[in-house]
Amino acid sequence: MLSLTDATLDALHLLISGDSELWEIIGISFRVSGTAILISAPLALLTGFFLAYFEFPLRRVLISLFNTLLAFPAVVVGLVVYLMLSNQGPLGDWKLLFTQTAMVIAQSILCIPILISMGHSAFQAADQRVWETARTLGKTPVAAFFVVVNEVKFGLLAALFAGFGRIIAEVGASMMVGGNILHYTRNIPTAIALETSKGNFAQGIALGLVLLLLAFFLNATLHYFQGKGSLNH
Amino acid sequence: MTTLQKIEYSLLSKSWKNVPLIKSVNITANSGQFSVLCGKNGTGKTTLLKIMTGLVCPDQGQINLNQKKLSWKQARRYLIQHTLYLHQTPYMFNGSVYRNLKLSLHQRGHSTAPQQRIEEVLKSADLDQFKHQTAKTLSGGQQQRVALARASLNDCSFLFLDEPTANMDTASVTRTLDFLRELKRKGTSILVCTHTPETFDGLLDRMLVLENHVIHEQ
Repeated sequence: MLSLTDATLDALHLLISGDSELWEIIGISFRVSGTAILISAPLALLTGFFLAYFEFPLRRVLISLFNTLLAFPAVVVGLVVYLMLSNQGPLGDWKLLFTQTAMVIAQSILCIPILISMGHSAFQAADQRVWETARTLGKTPVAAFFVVVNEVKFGLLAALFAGFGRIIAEVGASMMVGGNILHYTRNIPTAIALETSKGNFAQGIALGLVLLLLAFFLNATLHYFQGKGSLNH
Repeated sequence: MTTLQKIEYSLLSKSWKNVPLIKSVNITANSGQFSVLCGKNGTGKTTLLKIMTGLVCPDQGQINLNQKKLSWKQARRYLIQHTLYLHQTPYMFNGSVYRNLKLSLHQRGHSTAPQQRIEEVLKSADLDQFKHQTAKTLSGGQQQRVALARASLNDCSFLFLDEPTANMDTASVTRTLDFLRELKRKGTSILVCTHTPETFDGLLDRMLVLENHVIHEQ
């Protein structure tokens, strides 16, 4: 068995040499998780906005529900999506099981509660006066919404990064509904799980390093923009 | 609809969690008129102003614009377009004073308006030295002046101000009064909600008191 140092050096070599299989897995991960975020963000952030700014029946119940869903285990989401998409499931005819679309569906379900909950907190941080001022200045409701978005953009950016961070690193749901098929549905976390079980630590560590670098990049980006924001306020 | 000259609000009522804030209030806003609204804390003055500007929906009430009766939904659109409400503590958007003023210009078809217009308002509000400063870092009085400058750029016909001179020093009050006098001269209807009506003695056309959920004219 390779030592940790040897495995890490091999991992770096794989990354730098441009190992095609490794970079393909990275590409699949970013494509699937990026699509999931793009699909879920508009609806989720709009929901967060309505929860923060408007009073309606069951509003508090919905807030509690979305906060509870934050703790929803990825494997349970995987199980539910699997049952829905399997041949015996209600959506079995769509033949989506073990496809990237199935992974996108599962990852969207996983990140929606994070986006709603953090989006709601971000919108709540801006007081009612933002909306009222934008409206009284003659903005249409849609234009006023974008004024509010601009006021809380760092909070919303943090929500997007947290959501993306969660789904690109989750293994349970992707494994169950994607099937970990090489060149198609194998993404970073499922590949790490597989390679580790095979004793191929170098590739596992290389992929783990990519996830760590991604986390660092997202955090650094957020801090950069927040810092810039505080200077200009 | 032609230029808005008169807004009549009839039988306005609003409750909050079954506590009545205003009951069957009748009030009229006329073009070029300067009114002051007084009343004890918690009598519903702010709520009334927000209803009058279309920001809050009344439980009951009727609105006539230029003597034309409209449903709340129809009226609200006109109220948002033609009236402007200024918070007691105005909200400053992210960015510079200039950006705050530019946001106001965008609203009523002035997106291509010349930069000169903002420069003029900056000068008349004595804010030109703060043009590039972050609006949120200004003092309370300076922010109030930015909000008034924003209002004057907005070309609204009816201006509703909530305690505009609260926490202002004498010089700022004088400057604000000059600013309001100029707006009145241009024909803007102004309704000021205040605990110190004597501040506006030189401008006053009408004094209203909100008491026991009802408005009395004095």
